[in-house]
Amino acid sequence: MITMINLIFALFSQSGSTTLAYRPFIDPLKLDDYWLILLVPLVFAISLTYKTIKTDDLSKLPGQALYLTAQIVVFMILAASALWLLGVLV
Amino acid sequence: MSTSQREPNPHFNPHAAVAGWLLPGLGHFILGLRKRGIILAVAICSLWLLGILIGGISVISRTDRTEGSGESRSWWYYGQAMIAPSIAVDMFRNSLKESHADGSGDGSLTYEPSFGRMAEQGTLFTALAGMLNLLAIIDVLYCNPAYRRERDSGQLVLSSSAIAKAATSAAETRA
Repeated sequence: MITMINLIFALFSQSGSTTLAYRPFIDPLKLDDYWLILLVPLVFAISLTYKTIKTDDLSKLPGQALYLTAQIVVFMILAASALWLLGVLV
Repeated sequence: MSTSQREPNPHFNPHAAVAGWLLPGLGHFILGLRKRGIILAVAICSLWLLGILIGGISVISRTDRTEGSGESRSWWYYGQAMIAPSIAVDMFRNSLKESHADGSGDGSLTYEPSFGRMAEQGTLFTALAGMLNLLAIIDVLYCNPAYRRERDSGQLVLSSSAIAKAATSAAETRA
């Protein structure tokens, strides 16, 4: 939760961090410390698009998209944990 | 479709594919699949815009090279170009770069290139948005709009298992 608040503050405090005033969509954001959180909207957009194309019943779309998002995030965390463990042990 | 059944009589819809390339979801929309078209437009355009917001317009580049590594970004650009507005963004970025280089601009129209994580994330978001749009384009290129509209409106209620059972019983009757 605190990380999310920090991310929102970082989004709205861009102007002082560059030589020129920050211009949305022209200049990059300074979110280097929060890049891992950006995984969630990325995965959700992928899930939503995939399920929109694949699913028969659109009334089930939000639930299916959220379920697929959760599956991908959990498996990525598991894969990252396994690789981290491998790096520690070997 | 979540079924393994192919939809009957898929049509070739090149106009819808071109529309979908110009604006994500527009191909589905003009074929009457409005709800799917709007959802696709929101999902893909949000991802693409978020990528540009994160990394700035420098993430969409056909010619630039990543600082130091000498790695060409052109392969990412092919993914990004699956959404037509990416080409316009690249042209706009080039015009900013050229106006700054020859001094014809007022100096305030330059952009700050992104590096590191933000460049990676912005490039990844925009390229993935393009690849997802390619998926949507392929989906709309070969589809039966009438069948899809019936399915979306709930008039077509046969599940894949029901279709398979009906096909099996018809084959048994013929035998």
